[in-house]
Amino acid sequence: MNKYLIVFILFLSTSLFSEKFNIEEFSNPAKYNWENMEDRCKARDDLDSRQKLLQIYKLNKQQIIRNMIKSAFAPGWGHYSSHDYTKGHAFIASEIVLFGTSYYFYNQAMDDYHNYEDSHYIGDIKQLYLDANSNYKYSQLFFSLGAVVWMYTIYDSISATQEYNQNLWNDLSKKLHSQRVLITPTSITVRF
Amino acid sequence: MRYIILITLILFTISCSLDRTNPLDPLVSGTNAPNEVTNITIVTTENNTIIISWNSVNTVDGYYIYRSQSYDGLYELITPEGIDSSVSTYEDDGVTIPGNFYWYKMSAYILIDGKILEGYRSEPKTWN
Repeated sequence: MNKYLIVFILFLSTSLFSEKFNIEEFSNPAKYNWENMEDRCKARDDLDSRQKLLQIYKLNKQQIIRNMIKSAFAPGWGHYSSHDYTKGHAFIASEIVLFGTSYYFYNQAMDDYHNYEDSHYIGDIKQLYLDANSNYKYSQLFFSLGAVVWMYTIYDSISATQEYNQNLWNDLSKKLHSQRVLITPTSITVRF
Repeated sequence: MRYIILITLILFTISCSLDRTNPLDPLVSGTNAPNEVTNITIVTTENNTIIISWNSVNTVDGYYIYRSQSYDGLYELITPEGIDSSVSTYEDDGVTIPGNFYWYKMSAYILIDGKILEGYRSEPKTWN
């Protein structure tokens, strides 16, 4: 019983001490620098256009995670999606070069290694093993570099996407503010 | 931190090596390759053949002889079956002299589980 009494007192005290919501102050147009009805309409149009801008932005913006997955699947793809073609070309080209070189050295290593396995002359056994191992290490080195560049591509696709989204927003804002005549289904707005 | 990860990754990958799988590899079999054949002497005979003699090498199973018409040319194995380890001379009758000049290389071999491991080949030799 005491519990309910305490809760009731607390409820009463909160309503007593809480600030009263002032509907008149809230609805005072002067607060928003609206001198007249025209100002109100302008503000409303501005809000509408901003909402439209936001909708267009939401429709066209790139998702970071999606571009990261694209880059993880094929290096540079995320950058191509973000319209960063220079980096996309650079990443895909460097991956082709690094993995291609790694594959070349791996093939050389395997050729030498198979010859080593079949060799019965001590000079060949020693030399072919050294050659095979050396080529194998080069292959591993280029493969590692390729993997590092690939990881960096995934990481860099984050900033590329952010940059794309920022540019998209800037372009949309610029377009909106440079548009002198705005025709919508319900109104025609002319800016001077 | 990025560089540390990069260097660690590179060091890790280049530290990987291929396995030694050739059973004739001394590091696999634990058997040393035969020593080089020494004291190789080459003489021509009146019958237009060439006799090659050498010092026997201990604990080998046989010898190979290679021949070429130039010092640094391609040396052809003229004893594919090998020469028995108890022999220390060989008569080469597959030559045409006078008019040609021949260079010889020799090596010794041992058998490891029925497979031949050939030791280092000697420097090219010819008659004086």
